[in-house]
Amino acid sequence: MATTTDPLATTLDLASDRAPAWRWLRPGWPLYALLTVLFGLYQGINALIGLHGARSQYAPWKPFLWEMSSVIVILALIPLILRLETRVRIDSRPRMRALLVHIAGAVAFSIVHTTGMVLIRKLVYAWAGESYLFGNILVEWIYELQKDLLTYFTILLVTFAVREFRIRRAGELRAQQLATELSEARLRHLTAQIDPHFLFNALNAISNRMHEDIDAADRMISQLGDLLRAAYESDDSVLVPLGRELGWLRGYAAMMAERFRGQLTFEIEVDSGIETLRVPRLLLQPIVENALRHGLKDGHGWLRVEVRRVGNELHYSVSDDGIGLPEKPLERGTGLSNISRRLELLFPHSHALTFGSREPHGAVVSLSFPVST
Amino acid sequence: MSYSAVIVDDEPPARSKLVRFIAELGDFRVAAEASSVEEAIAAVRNTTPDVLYLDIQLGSHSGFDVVDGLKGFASPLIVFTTAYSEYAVKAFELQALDYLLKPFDRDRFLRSIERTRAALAEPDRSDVEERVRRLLAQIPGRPAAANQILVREADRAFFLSVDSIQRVSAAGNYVEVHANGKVHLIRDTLTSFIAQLDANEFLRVHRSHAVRVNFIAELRPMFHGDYELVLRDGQTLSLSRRYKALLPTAIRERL
Repeated sequence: MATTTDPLATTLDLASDRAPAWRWLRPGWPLYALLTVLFGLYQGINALIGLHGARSQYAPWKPFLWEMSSVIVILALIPLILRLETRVRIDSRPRMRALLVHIAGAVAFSIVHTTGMVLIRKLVYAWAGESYLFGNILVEWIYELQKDLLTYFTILLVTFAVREFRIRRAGELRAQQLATELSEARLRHLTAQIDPHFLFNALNAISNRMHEDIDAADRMISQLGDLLRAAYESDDSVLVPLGRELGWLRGYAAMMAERFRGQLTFEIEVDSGIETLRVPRLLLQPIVENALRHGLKDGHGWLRVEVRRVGNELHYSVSDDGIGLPEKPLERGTGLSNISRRLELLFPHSHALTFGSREPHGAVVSLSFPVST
Repeated sequence: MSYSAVIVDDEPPARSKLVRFIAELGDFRVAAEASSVEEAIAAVRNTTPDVLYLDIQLGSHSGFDVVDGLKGFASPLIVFTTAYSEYAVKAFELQALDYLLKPFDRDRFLRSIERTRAALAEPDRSDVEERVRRLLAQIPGRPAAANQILVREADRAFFLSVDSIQRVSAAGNYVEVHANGKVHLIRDTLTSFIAQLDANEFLRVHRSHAVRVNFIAELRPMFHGDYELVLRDGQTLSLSRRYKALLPTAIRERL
């Protein structure tokens, strides 16, 4: 019974956040108190009307007192119930433990509720010069207990429903953000691949290679084809097999190594047997492209990509001997900031993304995230 | 007689392609190759080539940095090469400078070589230098023009405000700088001297003369399509067809 979503939502917040004590004083409380009073009045009117013929036997304030005293105690106890519920959630396991804890909770709730309620009534009656009689204590208490059990579990049920609703909504929001970030990454990838500079220089390198080694030129054409195909691919999946990511990387590396033959060393090292692991799409590419674009001076240098599995985590590391990273590598709008946001959305609190520098010059970008086998 | 060429590109295959095409010609040889701005400047200084094949995108730098670095030292004929550069290609076309878009084939290369031969056969290439100077003025991110110039005379040295300069003429190993009715002699070549002036303010109108735009008073047609330029101080300069074509449209229309 005694539930309205708004104060419940407020108290749910209070209870479920790792809330410091002062949070109990936040502005939701006057509203909560007001609702308590209104609800008590509403119940009082109902009780008054419910007295029918017996109405003349009681002063009209009495039904209000009975209901108000009950409502006040219940609403004062709700935050405590919610606190208990965050410790031992009703959907937690072992189920028997949750059930026993909350049965005990309900009984305790009922004892405190009945006692508190009767105390308030006795006090007010005494103040009005009358005496309040509870009747047969055992009967009355059992009567209150069955009502309180219902109240207690209704409160738990609504708490559970609100929490589930919030989790679902947050999940949907996250999925939406992820889709946005991924499409941004795809757009970047597309523009990097079909970057006219990349394309025309690759064609020029092929047109030269033809005169030296027709098979090598042939390979370059098929690699360029693969890269363009990957760029045109319209696939929305968030996770792809590592092998697919590496396929792109190897093609790109081969093309760059041809364009900067004798000037650029491009090493790729991958632990064996991990190519079927599912990894986020387009995570490695922006880092590699960034390293080549800003890291290498006039196309001279080396770049090394390592992909390792450490326990249940996958580690990527991209190092170069170029000019080093900018001061704020995660500034919005860069490919690196997009990676950081996607990692945060995909693996909140269980990923790492670090930027380092190498001696005497160069940069290392490392990242890790959990993989399921 | 054989012309020498320097090839500047950060991508080895792009260089080898030009090396191969040039090797097939009888009258050109490759004097040096370079893959960066510094290497390019050093190569041109060491070999003083007739032609410079210059890539626009040199890693994180630009081929225009090479042109800047050569100011006052050497002025080879430049053929720009680029894979893609919207604004540069537009600027090349505007200044009628030669360029090769990558990837190019032998036919396109040979057409460019024809133009290069014709340009190299001209005894006076100062108008091509002027085209390059105007080009640089249009490329964003270039160093700003000077606003004062150091003048050393027999007994003193002082800064001359560029705003006061009306025209500049070559005189042997010196340039005559005409400023507010006075003439200052500075040891320099005209090409090198005007490189530091704003190409939109000062126009080279002759192998030996550059004038401030608003110091031109009149354009008078002469025989054979040549013109005479009358300046505000009454001085007249002959203006050849090649230089007339270089006058900005706005000025040609005004006169």
